[in-house]
Amino acid sequence: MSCNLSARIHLFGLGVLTSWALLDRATNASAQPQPAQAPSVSASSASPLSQPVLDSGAGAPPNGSPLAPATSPATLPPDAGGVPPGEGLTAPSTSTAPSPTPTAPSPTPTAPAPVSAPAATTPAAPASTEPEKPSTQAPATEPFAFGNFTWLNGESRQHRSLLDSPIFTGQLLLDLNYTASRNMPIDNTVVGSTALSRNNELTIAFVGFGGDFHYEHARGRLMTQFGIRSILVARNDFSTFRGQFDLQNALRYISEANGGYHWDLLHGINLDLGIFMSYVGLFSFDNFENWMYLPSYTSDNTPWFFNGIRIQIFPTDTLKIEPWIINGWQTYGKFNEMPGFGSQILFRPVDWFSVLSNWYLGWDAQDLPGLFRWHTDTSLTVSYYHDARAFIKRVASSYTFDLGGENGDGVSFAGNAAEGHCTPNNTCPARFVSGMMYHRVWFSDQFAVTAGGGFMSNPSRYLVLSPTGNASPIPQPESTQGIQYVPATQPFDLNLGTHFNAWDYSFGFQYMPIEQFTLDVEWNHRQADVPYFAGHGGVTSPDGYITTTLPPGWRPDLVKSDDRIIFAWLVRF
Amino acid sequence: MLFRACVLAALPLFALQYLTGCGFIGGFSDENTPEGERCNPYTSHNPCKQGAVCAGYPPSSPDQFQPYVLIPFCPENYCCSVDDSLTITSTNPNCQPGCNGGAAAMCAADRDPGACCYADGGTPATLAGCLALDGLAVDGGPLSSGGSSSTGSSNLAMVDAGDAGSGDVGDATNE
Repeated sequence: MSCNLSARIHLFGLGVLTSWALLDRATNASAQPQPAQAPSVSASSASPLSQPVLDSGAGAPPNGSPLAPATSPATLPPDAGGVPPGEGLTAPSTSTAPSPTPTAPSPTPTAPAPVSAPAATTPAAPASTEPEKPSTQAPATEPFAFGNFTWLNGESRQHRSLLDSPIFTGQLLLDLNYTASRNMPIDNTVVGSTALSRNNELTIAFVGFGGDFHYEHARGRLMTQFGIRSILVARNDFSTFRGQFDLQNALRYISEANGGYHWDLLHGINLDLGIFMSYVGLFSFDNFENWMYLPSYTSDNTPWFFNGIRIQIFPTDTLKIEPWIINGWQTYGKFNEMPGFGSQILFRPVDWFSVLSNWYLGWDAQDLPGLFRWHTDTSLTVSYYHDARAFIKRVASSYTFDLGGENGDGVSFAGNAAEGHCTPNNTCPARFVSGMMYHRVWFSDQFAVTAGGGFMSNPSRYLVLSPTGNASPIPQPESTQGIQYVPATQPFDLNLGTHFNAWDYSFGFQYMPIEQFTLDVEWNHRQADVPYFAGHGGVTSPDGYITTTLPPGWRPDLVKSDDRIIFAWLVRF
Repeated sequence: MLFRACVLAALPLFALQYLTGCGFIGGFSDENTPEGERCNPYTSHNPCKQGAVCAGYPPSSPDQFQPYVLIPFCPENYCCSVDDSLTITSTNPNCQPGCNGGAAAMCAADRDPGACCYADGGTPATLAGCLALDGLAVDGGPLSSGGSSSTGSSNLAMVDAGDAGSGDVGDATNE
């Protein structure tokens, strides 16, 4: 019932917005300047939102465009150029050879599929013994290359990759933060986040290097993961406690490792196996790409990665359909016998509007093979205003709404039994309802301010990030640094039938002097209806050290609210 | 350009200073912790606000810097107001025997007889009896047998000032 309702709402909303966006695109297309023309500042007066001019990067490829690697100046727009959309991006290739396939240098949801490349971008094309014949058929255009999407939340703002070569596009990310909570926990530990971990310390959150390998139709992506997120994210995966061989340690230093093959069908089809990024909850795992450093629960509590198979199908240059068959909901392993199924649909009919929709179905509970989880996630991102020459350059918003639940083995979406009394005939509630929205204003290319927030309601707490330390309900030997692991005596209750409601808001300022650097300053408030966040006493021991003996019955200090400031220092090449 | 860069760099620092000075517990030095909040009994200075001490479970370390005040059947440590004789005067629930669920936690952890006794409907009147189950007695003065914890005069202090002395409670926050 709830699934049907959710699906209808999605379809209706999608239909309205799609019609609007398609109408806008059609109108724009008729007024579109030809690539051969001089840079235009025309604009789409026909846009219902009156975006008057193209910005300096308009027409530049979306990040990771396979048709416009950084080493090809011909395909890059001048920094202040106002190049028409599509110029240098969809130029037909006279080469019949398959193009190299530099995939996205960042884990963007677009991960575009190469279709055909300009000759200038095909240095690795194999030598042909036959003379080239002029193409009689226009090649399919590259997906999402018709516009500039670098303003999107969860998308890189970089227009080009500096570490590019014919077969490898490198990437380096340094993500450092400092955060201070008003609670000042004495163990310097943050509870309830996958972005923040240590309080009142400079923290190296993520250091990753890797990139995209691309040769002919073969493709691969590797991104390492050092820093505290290699602990922080992996610890939430309980599937690794099934069986042997320590999957958490085996895989924690890899954030992405996938590879596959590309076909020149439709506007491109890719098949990849391995660990790939999830965009459930809109935000990117790569914090360089996000509007805010600490996302709301809708993003923070939903998956960052999947382990399995994905197929990316680009039927048009505005649409991506991406089914998955995966081990589970952000898991390295499988809880039960069935895999998880899901898909992403990304639709960008115009360059001021994006729809990202994900759904998931899986069996993700220990010893409960009859319990299945379903989840839907829909994000709309809209650029309301855009004027490259004005003081306020752009105004945009993102809206995300998630709806999900668990059914079977004693729980259901609308159950009402209390904790400890969950039975198949009298089920406990297990659902996830959440939303978040963010608004951002850009001042020139260098400054932005962002405000936003969200809420979540999660009876049975199946997506609540478990507190750590002596409040952890899951084993966490990696947090004990060789000190003999002692199970928590006062774990946070994650049993079926429990309740959890929370909300948050935040304000942020971003300084982005160049495309490779961001300084972010944020204020964040989080609130829950049960004690959840780290209080002043922390979650570790009386003095905050894991080496200090715990008095019998010592309770972690969990409180209902958390106010904090965050400084983030992000560098990406 | 340099000026603008300096201003940009300074703004976050000013913001940090402002925020830490307006309610962040203890700022950078973990001081002035309010009554009823957790505190660190091992630290070398009194982390609590003036007139309060870090009371609760006695630290296990022999190097005891702070005078400590026992809160019976409490597994944690909280900042609690005390009088000159280091008797708890706070009415905060965390500063009372059993510290707001602490007795039950101790009972659940190791089935301590005294803690289980007090967790099961403990009152100030039954405190001595429950302590006796653990072979303990309340130091620092007689129990106020008829008193209510809400009066803030539970007289449950067990003072062991150690080397730190007991007369510097009020000055401790000025270190």
